Amino acid sequence: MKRFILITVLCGIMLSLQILPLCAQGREFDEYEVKAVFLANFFKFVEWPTGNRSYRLCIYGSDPFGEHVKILDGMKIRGKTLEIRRPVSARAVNDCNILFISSSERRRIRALLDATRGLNLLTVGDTEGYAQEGVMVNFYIEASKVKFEINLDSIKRSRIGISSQLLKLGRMVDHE
Amino acid sequence: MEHKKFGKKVVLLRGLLLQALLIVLFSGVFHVLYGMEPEPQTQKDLITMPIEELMGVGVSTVLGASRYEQRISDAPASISIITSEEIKRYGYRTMADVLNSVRGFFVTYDRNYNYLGSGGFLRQGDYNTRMLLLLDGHRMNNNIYDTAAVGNDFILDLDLVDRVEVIRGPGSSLYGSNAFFGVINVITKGSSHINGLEVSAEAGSFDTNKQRASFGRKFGNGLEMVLSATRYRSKGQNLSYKEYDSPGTNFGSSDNNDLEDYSSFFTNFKLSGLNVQAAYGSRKKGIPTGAWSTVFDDDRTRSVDAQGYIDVNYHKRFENSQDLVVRLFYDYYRYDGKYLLDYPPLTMNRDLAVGKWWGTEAFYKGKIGDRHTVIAGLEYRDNFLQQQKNWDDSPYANYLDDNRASYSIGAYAQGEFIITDKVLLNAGGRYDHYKDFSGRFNPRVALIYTPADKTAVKLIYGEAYRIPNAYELYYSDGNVLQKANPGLDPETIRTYELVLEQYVKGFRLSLSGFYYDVDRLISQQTGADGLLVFNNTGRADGRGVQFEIERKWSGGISGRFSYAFQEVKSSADDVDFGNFPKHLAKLNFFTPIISNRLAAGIEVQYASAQKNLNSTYDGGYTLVNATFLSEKILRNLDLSFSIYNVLDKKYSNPASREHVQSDIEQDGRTFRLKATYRF
Repeated sequence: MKRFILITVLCGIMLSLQILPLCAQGREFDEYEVKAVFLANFFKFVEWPTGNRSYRLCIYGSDPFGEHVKILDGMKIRGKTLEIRRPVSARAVNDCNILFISSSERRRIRALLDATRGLNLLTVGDTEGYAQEGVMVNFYIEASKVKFEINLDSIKRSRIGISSQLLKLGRMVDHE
Repeated sequence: MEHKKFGKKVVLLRGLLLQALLIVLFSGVFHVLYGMEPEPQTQKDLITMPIEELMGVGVSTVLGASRYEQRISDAPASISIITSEEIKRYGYRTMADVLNSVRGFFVTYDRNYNYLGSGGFLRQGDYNTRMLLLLDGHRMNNNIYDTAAVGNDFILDLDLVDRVEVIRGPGSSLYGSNAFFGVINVITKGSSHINGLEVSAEAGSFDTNKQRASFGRKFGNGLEMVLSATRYRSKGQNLSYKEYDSPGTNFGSSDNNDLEDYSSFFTNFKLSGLNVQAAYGSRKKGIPTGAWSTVFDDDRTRSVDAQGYIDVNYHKRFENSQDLVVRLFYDYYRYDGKYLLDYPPLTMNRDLAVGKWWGTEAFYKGKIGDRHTVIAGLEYRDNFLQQQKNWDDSPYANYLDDNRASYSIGAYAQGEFIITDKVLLNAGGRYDHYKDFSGRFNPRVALIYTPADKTAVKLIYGEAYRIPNAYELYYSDGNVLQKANPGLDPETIRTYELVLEQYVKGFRLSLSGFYYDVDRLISQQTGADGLLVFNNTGRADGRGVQFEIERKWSGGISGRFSYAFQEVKSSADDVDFGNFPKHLAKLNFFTPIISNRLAAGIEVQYASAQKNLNSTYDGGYTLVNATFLSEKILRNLDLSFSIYNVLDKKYSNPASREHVQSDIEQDGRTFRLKATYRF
């Protein structure tokens, strides 16, 4: 009984000491929490030929992010405000900076890429095979980590510039 | 005598508590001296991270459910993942500790081995044969007893585990025999996870100590290397068994017979697709219970299990997301049992089992029409030695000298078909042929429906089987206690499962129900001649429901609660199977205490009563385990202090037939102090 009281008291004191509720360790995230943050990060490494007052991140097709992009909406990146858009047709993507193409667009991917050619937007996906189809940056998962592959040909054909720091982090794919 | 021990215990406890208090104080001081960046906990923390670090953040996926990495919600099974973080946070010492925290799993200990059950199913005399244990995809169940070793006899130090994937339900459609109730895939830490030299020392109750040294590095030329060695010694407890309470057997006291020693070694080299892994472990355990009619209270009775393997695999990635993996492996297993018997005279009876096998495997993954993922594979295993011996040392008498060899061939395929954006069909099967047994095809079909974002409903049907192992077929000790049954047939299972997984506002919910039906079940029985023998004992069916809720709060607090109900009956007479509680409830809660300097992981586990072989019940119990953890207390030093069975609850689990006892008392309150330093 004595021991039990001792432990309880000790635990009590320890808990009352909780001052700064910072985390102690890492954890596993939902993949879309992480991918959303990657998308926000990409704005720091990409230069668009035409400047706007704000940055626009567009999610095309069925939205896999849900509430995980809420935190990005209105965020300041390099002095600009980030806006989230969900265009419903390929004609409405003109003012996007980054176009995330959902895996629901698998069957229409070629037509969609043809329609966006020359618009100077960074196309991003997370579907196997997208990079080979011409999507510029494509997420994949390896050993429980989010990684991305890069289609350099597609980027070169556009007028956007990508920093070498970002290129170094990605895996290059050959365009078919 | 008892009193003196008690007093000593209090002194020890006070000392340890004082130590814990000092840790707290020091952690506060060092917090001021060395304020360090906290690791990410919420999405907000991720936003402030440099992109290079973002690439190291873990996401929830599973590898073992389909043999390729996929989202847990897309996997054709109900899955639990235990990460290295949780292993640290809750002070887990063995795989048995890890699995006891998993929803619907139940692990017992008879002071010789740990016994693992799931879905209400745990048979006495069974060495975890109905669960397939994989280490980085390498099959660990040996070729004599089919053992999935989850105690200190597990080949890998738990500190080297990156994650444990628990994949419930039949897995024979991918892995063949043994994947009866589930597959446990253990994934080791990579070189970058260890990154340099790391040493660790532990001290615990009953003169237990452990040391580990590990080295991991990724070199400029792409070579990744992991090397690790571990040594463990435990004097063990003095135990008492009322069944032996007579003058001839030391009034039931078994002193200095609970010793346990092990050492293990692990190495892994990776270079552009080539992966070479080798491991070896050997563990010695005293048997303090008088099992197998051995002389009670004598430390000469012991078991030694040794296991080792070399696995070489090559992974080649082709265009159009095609993958090819080829694997070649060699495995070794040896059991050396010493049983002191009193015929009279006192005679050392020896049991020796040696298993050697090699095998090869080819695995292909590709796409059909950009949408559907298909895999196919071939596996060949050659059990070129399955040897079992039993003899008396002196006077020499030979009871068993059984040498066998066998082989198996398996071919499997599985497809993940996207029917609509909301419906996924996962279907596959595997055909196996084992020497001396007719071939069998085991299918698995899962329909996965995603009606809304963050909701998945899985309807799964699967079949699995298990080939009787060499021990069940051929072991006999000269018909003194146990006899062979070479006529055994494989046992089979059909499982139906409905799983709902849901993510709402930071909560992860899982609700599932299952029904299964086992046929030609292999059970150990006592025959009319009084000898233990394995027989195909007919049908059994099991059903259950499981519920789990998990939450991660900002501020580093996380928690998980699960409840599982399960019952298994023999179909012939509707009698309940024992050995497994009908109700299991588990709570894990982790919270930082002082900023990111000190944290606590609390675990509460409830198990209801279990029926033992006397058809009486071992009472239900609630256990509390607590771990206090201070990471990076001094730049590179981690300290943790764990108290297991904090309330010192006296409880027992049912024993199997080789014991006079109907149940074996489990550990009371024990402690562990652990320090890990990185150079």
